[in-house]
Amino acid sequence: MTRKRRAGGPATDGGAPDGPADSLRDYLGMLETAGELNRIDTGVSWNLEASAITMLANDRDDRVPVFESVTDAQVPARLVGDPYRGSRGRPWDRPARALGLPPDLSGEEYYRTVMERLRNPVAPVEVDATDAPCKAVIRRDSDVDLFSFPWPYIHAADGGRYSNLHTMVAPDPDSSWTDWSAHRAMIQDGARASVLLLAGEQTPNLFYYRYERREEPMPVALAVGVEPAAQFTASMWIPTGSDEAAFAGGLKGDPVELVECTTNDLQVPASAELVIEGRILPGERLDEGPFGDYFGYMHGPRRSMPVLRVDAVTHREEPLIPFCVEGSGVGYSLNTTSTTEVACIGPDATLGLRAAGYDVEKCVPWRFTPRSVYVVSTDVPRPGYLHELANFIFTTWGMLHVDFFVFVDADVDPLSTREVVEALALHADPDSDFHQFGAETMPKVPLNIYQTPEEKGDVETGTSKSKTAKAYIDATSGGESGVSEPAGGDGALRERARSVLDRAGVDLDPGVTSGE
Amino acid sequence: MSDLRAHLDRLESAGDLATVEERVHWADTAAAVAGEAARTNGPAVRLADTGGRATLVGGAFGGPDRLSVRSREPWSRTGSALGLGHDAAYLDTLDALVAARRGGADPDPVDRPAATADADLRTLGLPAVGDADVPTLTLGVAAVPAAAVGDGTDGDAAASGSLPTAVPEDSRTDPDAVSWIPVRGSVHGSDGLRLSVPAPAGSTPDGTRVTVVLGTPPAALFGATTRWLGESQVAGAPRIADALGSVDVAPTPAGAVPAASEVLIEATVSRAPASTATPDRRPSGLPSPWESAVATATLRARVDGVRVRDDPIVPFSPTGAPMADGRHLLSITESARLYGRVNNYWGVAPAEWLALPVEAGLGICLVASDVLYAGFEWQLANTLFSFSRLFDKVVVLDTETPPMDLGRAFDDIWVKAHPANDWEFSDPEAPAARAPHYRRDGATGSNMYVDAAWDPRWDEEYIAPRVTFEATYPEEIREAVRADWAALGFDHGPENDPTHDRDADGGA
Repeated sequence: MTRKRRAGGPATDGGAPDGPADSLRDYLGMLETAGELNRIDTGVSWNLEASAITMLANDRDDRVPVFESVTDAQVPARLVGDPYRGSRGRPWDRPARALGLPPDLSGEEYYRTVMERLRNPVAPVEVDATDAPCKAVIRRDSDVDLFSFPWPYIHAADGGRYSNLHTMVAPDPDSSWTDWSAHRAMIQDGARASVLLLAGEQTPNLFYYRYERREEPMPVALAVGVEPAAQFTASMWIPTGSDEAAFAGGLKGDPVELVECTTNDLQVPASAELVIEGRILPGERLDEGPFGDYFGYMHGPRRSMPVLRVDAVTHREEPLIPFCVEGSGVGYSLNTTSTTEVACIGPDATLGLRAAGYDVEKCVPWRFTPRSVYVVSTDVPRPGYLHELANFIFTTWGMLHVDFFVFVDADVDPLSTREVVEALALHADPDSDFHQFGAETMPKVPLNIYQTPEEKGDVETGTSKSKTAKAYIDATSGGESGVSEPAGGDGALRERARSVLDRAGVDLDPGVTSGE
Repeated sequence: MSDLRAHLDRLESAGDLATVEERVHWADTAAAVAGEAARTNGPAVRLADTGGRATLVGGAFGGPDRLSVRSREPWSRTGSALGLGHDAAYLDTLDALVAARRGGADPDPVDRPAATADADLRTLGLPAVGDADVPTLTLGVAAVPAAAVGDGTDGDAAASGSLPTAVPEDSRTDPDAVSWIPVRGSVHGSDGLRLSVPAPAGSTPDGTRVTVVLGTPPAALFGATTRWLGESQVAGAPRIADALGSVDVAPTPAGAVPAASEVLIEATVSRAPASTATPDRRPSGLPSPWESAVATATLRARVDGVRVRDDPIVPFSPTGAPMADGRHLLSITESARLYGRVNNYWGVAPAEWLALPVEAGLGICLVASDVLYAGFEWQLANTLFSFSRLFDKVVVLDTETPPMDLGRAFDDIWVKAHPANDWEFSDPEAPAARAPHYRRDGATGSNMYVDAAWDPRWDEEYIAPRVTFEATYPEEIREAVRADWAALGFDHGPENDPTHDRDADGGA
């Protein structure tokens, strides 16, 4: 093991800089300045305790916990529970802060700003290893012991301890493209982890259909605790061949610094707290799961998933290991997954649909359910338009996880659950507005609870054995009278009314937009 | 007795009533201010200066949405209005409304109503609501001689024109001599009223006396609404009201009225049209939600006199605004009706809770139920379709979904129901539902239900446990985390926890 002290890589957290956060530490400093961080010095165990505290903080919309003293960790390291969870009323507020934006932006303004940034990628810069904070400590070969780090045991019925908030970096063997993605890893022993790779997604497709077919290992890096813009980008569906780091730079408004791995030629965000370098081995499988999953239920049984063999671990001093209490971001509660759905995937998907020629207003995940259903506000310029739009989505990025799309009028705000629920109830006619795509013909990830274990099967590529259906719901008004309109209210009168209430000191819901 | 003023006092004590002192005119601004407060999940608002004699209150029976965790619930004001407390549990509120359907004792009579001061209808300052350009009446109750209210069929007694036009003087506090009906209306000219009433009251003969009361004790408003929601096995509205809260009654020519009402408008039914060019004009403004639940008719009347209490207070619904009072009123009364019926039908009470969420415009019915046997979901959903014409969408949930946890309910609809197998549609010959905005021409179509409950045929091992704090962590960890919460440096207590449901702890 080599141990180096770095210039520019402080072990202590910084304050709240102007502009976007350059690291997870910067971001946490911003939260601390804003009074939204809770540093817990009491010793807390990685074994369910840290996640239990985090889940209750998520449920109660409380401050983000940083566990400064993790018991039973051989390497001094800290845990951060759901660092990107937004506030209940305004899920995008903490991501906005991380990107250097005002946290009080309206949802409309936030989406517009993020889309504008994504339209303007900023190329990354490469830094030397000596300048990379993530290489303060380098462990190789026999020095590598994954269990020396306090990976959290998150749910009592999980199959093991997980790293589930990292950026997986994997290269296309046939081009210079490198994919950034998010695939959880269950720690198996000191040098191995099983990685959830579901066929149909970009990195899994690279592994299953290129590397494994050629019987070659896929070099990967799991960059843990990267700067917020890089973390957000990993959750987005960036087109194949595009430079993900440049999108992260665009999102940030500044170049992302990359550094080459120690044991392979992949480049990772230099800001990472910890980097696991290794290879995913062809033909090898280990159990993965059960795991409390994003849709709010324990998902099982164990499945066989590809194996990551670790070659090196590099990290900062006292690295911060962020984690997500998956499954706690459903219903009224938010976690990192459900927040990044709204704050990152929504704007990215909106931009993607527009790029494909669909002039949608917004595409926003359903507030209470990450990934399974999206709401698209759009005009309907011609007959067949919604079918065409749904078909496009279901056959591209929405194929595996998303089961439903709800289309609403362009003037219905998909960020307002009330408006969407009302449109669904009052405009979607069971007789003509519920459209099923491909009953029992469409692929589906096995991460669902409506299929039996037998239906999910255990096929190698990680898709369900039993196919399923997709559906879209036309909740546009189609010429029917609109959903609720405030009494007597045109826009100007409503503004006047709001001013009256403001002057009277009436406490109104800040999560309800004035432009609703 | 609990009158409107006591209800407002309780709301104010609970921090759920704000006062706007600046001038908001009844003609153009009052409804917009109340509508905006409703739309933004604000408190009830008392409009102290509207250019008229009355103080207006919007949201007295409204509430915020339940699409987030809030310090007050959508039904908090209803619970408060019914004397159950501002922190009443949802099921307690439903149970109170269900129990009241059997009726209570006869209301106590008093000599005269509290409203004794003469007033002029045009200067009261009744708000123009829902695109109306004239004063309107919402949240109103009308007293009509019971003998004049038929069942709407040809040849009934009222339609024959052979009935007395007023209640005999010795029966004017008799609850059996009067019908209380929900009413919505508008004021035209100096003394013209156009009233939307349940259809059986629409055949009330010319010359019949009718008393419209505004600002009634809440129990009377709920009683009148409950009485007309499509059931025959319920008591008369005065007795339902008395079961919900002691309501004294005072005599008027139209029969007994709630004595504590803020405004009494005594009128006489007169079908003579003000203008021969528009003989059948409906009241101005948008219909109240209850009008989609029952068949209605228009009643025209001429005002004989108006009496008010000192400093009268008139609650109103900013009809058309999301979360407006009228929607809340219908939501809770119709939910209670259906909850009562499905739990008194099969010899057991399978429904843990049931709701027509205000947030969904009453177009969806959620029911959390034991699934008694395979296929029960179909039976339950279709029973609800046969009991109510408001909606054409039912979501069947498991009982593990806490009452009114819309976050979980509107999660399960997508993740527990198989998109191919659990979204069930009827044949396209079902009658059109009344809450939705489509098929307003009455064309038939499909009903649908979503089966978001576990299939009772599944092996236990197929049932995925929920990820919740309770289910995910051992008891010793849960207890330690909760006990040490403040010491760990956190700020938000259990009142912020979505799993802290009041039904589980008895409304504490």
